[in-house]
Amino acid sequence: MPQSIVPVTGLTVREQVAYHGWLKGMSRAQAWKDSGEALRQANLTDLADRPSGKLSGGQLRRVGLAQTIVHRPSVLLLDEPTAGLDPAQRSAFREILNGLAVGDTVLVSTHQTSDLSGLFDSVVVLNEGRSPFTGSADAFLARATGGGDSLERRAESAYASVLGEAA
Amino acid sequence: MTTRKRWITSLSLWLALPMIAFVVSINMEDGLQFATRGYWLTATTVASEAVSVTGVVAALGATWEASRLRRARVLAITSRNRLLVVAETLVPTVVVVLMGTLVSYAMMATIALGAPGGPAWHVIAVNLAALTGILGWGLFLGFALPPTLALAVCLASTYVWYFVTAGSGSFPLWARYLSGGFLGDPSVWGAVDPRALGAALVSALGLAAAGLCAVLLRDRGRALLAGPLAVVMAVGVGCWVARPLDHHPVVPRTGIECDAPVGGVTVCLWPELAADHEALVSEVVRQHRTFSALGLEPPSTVSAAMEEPEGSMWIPLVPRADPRPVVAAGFVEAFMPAALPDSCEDFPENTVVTVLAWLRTVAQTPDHEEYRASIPAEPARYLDGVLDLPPRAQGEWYLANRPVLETCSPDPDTLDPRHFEAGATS
Repeated sequence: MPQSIVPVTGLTVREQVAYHGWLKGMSRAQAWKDSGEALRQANLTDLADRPSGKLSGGQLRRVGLAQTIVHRPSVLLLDEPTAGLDPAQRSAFREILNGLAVGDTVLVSTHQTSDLSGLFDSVVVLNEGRSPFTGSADAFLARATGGGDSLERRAESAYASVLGEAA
Repeated sequence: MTTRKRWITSLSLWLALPMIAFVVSINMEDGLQFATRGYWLTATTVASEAVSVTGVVAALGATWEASRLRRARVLAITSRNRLLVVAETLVPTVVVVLMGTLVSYAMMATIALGAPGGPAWHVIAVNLAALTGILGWGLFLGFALPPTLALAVCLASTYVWYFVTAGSGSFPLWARYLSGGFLGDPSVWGAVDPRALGAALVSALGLAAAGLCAVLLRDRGRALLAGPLAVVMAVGVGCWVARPLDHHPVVPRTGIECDAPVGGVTVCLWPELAADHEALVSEVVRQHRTFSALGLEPPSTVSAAMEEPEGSMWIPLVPRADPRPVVAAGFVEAFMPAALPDSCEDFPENTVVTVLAWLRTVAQTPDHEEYRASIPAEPARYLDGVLDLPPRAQGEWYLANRPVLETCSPDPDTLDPRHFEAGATS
């Protein structure tokens, strides 16, 4: 899923998702059929008939997710899926991600340390072309030197700690 | 994308009606009015002029679709063949453009139905290649430029390509052949100059290559460089090929067949004249005898072809016309040299008018009396004088004055028929 989702001019949400299914090799009929399930998983069923050009940023991001999963990939690559979203939208997006019924592996690249939640197993920190940390999410959070009980603050602290050690 | 949605979101669909109206209008006002009837090649070339309208729609439609694909970065994410994805979006544009092309061919076919042979497939092939080329150009613009700018540049460039090259004096006459339309209106004795077709084909290949570069090259920089380079190179070659041509890209048609001599005259006719074959032959033989009796000694072979058989006299015979006046007019044209250039300082005006009036009278063209009534008093007086001479003296008068018709010179003394009375009586 690319960082920015641009609607195809003139298509509704469902048509856009089905079109992406076709672009990824599905038959037209199968793509149309499976687009309904993808929209359901992305919590977009109510917006299925709305023109895709008339969506908010968060809705568009969910359309991006739906068009990414419509062909049931085994690996999902999500590039900055929550960039530009407000905290509530980010939280909602994470919930959707958590409930996805597709993808054996989900790889998310993000600058938002707050995205780190219970749904991730592993963390890889990339900094200036190097990887100063690779390990489980728990091991990453264990690097935190502060932040209290807040997962978001602990993630930020762990990130700063990893980068500090790398320097 | 559903088929219905693909159609209703296609710009071409909205342009279809005005396009067909334009095509019908062009053919009704021009092609159907002035094109040679009963000759498939003419019907085909004139029909292909619709490319100036269908080509604009093709380019705009392709630009629109390419802009949509570019904006949504569709080619970057598809796992399907990129050409297939683009072709899928172009279906409405291609159908609409082919519909416009078909309307044009169907309209112009009405003037050739029943004629021997069939549509000139090589002209149709070049026409379709030209449409493919401009489709490629539209794709290139759509993928290379932001949507609004792409549509504006597309409209401007196709306007220049089809209309300015043909209608503006700032372009050489041959420039219009590059676009694939404007391949002339050859009469039955002419064929389209292969160089005009070649120039259009090469240019179309370059334009199509630009579209392919934009679709297939993943590196945007390379696509932006390779596309225009392909266009410049191809159009450059097209210019080189078309450069020797003038405003009428027609070469003499070859392959005429001749009958056995009738009354000492061999007549060669095109298959398109077969319907009036007997009447034409007898009229040609009659006119041949008339002019021979004047001492003009026309060649024993009279041909409807410009340059064959060698040594024959060409008379321009058009199909589906009354044989008598068309043969008469053909003999007049054969004995009347081409018009002198406007740049002549001295112009044998009275000679031209008198000789032409005399030829028309001798050949008995339907309008010879009307023409006689329209000429000034002095040539009319000369004409009456010539017609009073015995036949042989009339021929001598013509032979004496004919060279003047081909030179920029004042009217000669020999124009006065009184100089031939003595010779005729002696």
